[in-house]
Amino acid sequence: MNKIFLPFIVAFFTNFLCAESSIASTRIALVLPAEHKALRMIEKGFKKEWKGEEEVVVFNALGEASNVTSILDTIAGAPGFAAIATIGNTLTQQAAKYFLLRKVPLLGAAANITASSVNNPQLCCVVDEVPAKNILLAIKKVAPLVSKVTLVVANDEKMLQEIPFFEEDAGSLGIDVQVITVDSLQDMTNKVTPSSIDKDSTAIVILKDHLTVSQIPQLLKVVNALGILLVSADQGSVLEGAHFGVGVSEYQTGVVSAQVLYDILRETKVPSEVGCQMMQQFSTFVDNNWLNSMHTGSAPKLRFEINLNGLSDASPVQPV
Amino acid sequence: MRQGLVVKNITFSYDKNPIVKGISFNIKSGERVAIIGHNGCGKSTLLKLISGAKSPQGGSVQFDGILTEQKPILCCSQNSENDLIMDMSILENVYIWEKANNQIVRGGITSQYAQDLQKYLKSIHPALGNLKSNVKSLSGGEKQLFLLGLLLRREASMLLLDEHGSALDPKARKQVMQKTMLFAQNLDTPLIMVTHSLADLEYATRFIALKGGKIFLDRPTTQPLSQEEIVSIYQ
Amino acid sequence: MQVLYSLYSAISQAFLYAPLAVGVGYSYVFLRKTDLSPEGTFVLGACIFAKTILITENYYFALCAGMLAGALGGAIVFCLQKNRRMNPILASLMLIYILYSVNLIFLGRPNISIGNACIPLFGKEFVDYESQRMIGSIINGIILCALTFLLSGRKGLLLRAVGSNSALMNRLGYKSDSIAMLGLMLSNALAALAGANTTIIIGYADINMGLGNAFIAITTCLVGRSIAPFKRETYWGMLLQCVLGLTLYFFILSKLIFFNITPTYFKLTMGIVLIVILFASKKRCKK
Repeated sequence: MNKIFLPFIVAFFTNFLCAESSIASTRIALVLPAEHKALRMIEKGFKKEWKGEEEVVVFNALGEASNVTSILDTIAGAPGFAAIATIGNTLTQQAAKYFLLRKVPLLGAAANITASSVNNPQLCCVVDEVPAKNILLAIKKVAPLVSKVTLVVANDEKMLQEIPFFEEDAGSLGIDVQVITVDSLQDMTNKVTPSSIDKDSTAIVILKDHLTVSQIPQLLKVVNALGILLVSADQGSVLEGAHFGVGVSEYQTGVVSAQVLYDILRETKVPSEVGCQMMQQFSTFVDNNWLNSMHTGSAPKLRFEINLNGLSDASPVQPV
Repeated sequence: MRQGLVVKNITFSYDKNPIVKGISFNIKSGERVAIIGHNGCGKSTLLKLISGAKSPQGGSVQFDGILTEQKPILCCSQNSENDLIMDMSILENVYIWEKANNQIVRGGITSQYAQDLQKYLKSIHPALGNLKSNVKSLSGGEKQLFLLGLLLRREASMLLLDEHGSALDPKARKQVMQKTMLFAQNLDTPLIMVTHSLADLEYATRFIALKGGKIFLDRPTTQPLSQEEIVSIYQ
Repeated sequence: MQVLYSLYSAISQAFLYAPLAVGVGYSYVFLRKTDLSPEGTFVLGACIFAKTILITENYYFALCAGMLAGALGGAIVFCLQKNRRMNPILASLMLIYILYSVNLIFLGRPNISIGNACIPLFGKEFVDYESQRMIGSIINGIILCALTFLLSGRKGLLLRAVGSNSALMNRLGYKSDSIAMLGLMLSNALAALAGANTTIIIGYADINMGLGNAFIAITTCLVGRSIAPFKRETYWGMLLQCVLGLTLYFFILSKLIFFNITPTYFKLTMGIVLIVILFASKKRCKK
């Protein structure tokens, strides 16, 4: 019988050895869904900016669903966690569901989940999404004669809500919008083809949704065939191959998240009032390889004049 | 009317290399036949053809008027582990064997059935009386006897033994052979055994010596083999 | 308190993953086929479950649909390796490879949320995490116990016999192929069950959620077997061994997370701990 209990007893015992030192002060948990450069940047920004005396403890689920549950259990079981910050939509959603009855302040960094959709008033988010106007302005800078862009967007509730805002912003700049909504990956191959894009369109614009962001190589084929631009709304898609994008720097997201959480813990703000905090600082990210090949002329020819100097003040993105 | 085993002019070859070249014989019920011959003369192949595990390429093997290849007959080989399920108990092995043969009908193993089984197995060897014990824990001889016991409980077929004692030490081997013959005396079906050891001829009533895929000698054991015959069989 | 909580956490996680480990145990220990396909059918079950619950809004119906899909996956992996046409490991890797696409087709995108789907039970609707986890674990436990009870009778004997000596089973006149296929279907349906119940609890189905599950299942099954005091191979024994192994695995996992091992060394540490447990218990067996 000893055989069964021995490993448990060892684990039990080691627990007390370390428990003393770590439970002394209150802590903040920062949970990363996986090991990724962009996530590490958010972590870096968060830790750098954190001003409270609470220690920031970083957990990493390493991309495994079973680890996430264990991490949330560990946080829930350990005393002294004053607040929990999670990165990304799915992780934040799971944490919001998990801590529903425990009334711990939750912060979703780089997430866009409203407290009402998960019924958890303790949740607030730092949204790293960009207003459509900033994206359109960048396009206008690069291609001054732009008259129409094509928006490819996933057919889900959250993304559909953004279409009217996008169209409104485009209208104020005198740009027409062709909207293509896609249900699924197969739908994408059928609906987004060189012939389905309007002839006078200057660029395909994608926003931050799983579906389109995961299909950048396919979108690149279409835009290269037509000689138009692929513009995205975050840094990650530019790393994947989008020509340029307007977005929020991951580091900055971490910084703002730390500020919001600090205010909530010091009770100068209430989570439900913060809701979804939009980021204010935006940067333009450029695929450096593409930029260089445009200068040397080895890139696929565009069918209109562009002003590459419009991107000169943007921050280039090196492929990882 | 029982016709016994009728083997008619059978042939068999592996990759165009003929092993059995036209063999015919009859065996009546109650006869105990030993098949002898040197290594590779085709004795094991002949037994497989008789049991129906392999189909002859020419000729036919009939037992009581039915082709054996249509209804294969199990045989007791030298490696009993092939015919038992090692990590199961004796009772579970019996269940698997007898369920397949419809010896256990719906309703499963009743206590009466288990009692009879225990009595029967105990009469073969005391170690087999413990139905819950694992087959793995039995010795080589006990496993052979257990397998023999299973074969004997199957109705109306021949008892085929393929060197079933040869992997055992002399003492266990003798015990297994004696038990086999004890049971065989009450049997009204043919018994065929393939053997390496000429000493085993004492258990048989008739022997068939093979050489080069054909029958070299076929006669009752009452006429013992002469020294010259032994030399020419094993040359 | 903290230790008790992590023990509770480990046990509830263990019951969530128990069908997966038991399924792998059936194919690995009883059928003697190294079948990694539960890694794929886990996700398949999750995807079909998520899609079905979004359409029908019926938890139990979706659960059955997910399990059926898993069973189908098992049938396919058996057909691939039937008559030694393909090495069993290759066949299951092939299935995982193909299922990635199949799962994407069903999901339509890499990740779908099932929102506030609930588990109806006794006229109440449970939406929150803790009660869903409790009910999910209990449902897994009930299904596993029922299955174990069924297999502990004479039916399960045939499954074990086919794994142990399929040549004899054929000679005796059993259809050993059908029995082996049934076994693989069962093991994959169980993996799908684990996937489906995980989905309802965490609230989404993801194309990558099966990552590392074959490892967890096989390791915990073997760790459970090596630390369990009972040696005879029975279905109840297998169930207990798997739950024991999983509990230990998740307990250690939560300890490692508690000590906050850096991600770089996390899996290394976990691996070494598991190796030490496996080795230590082997030594004791020899004595």
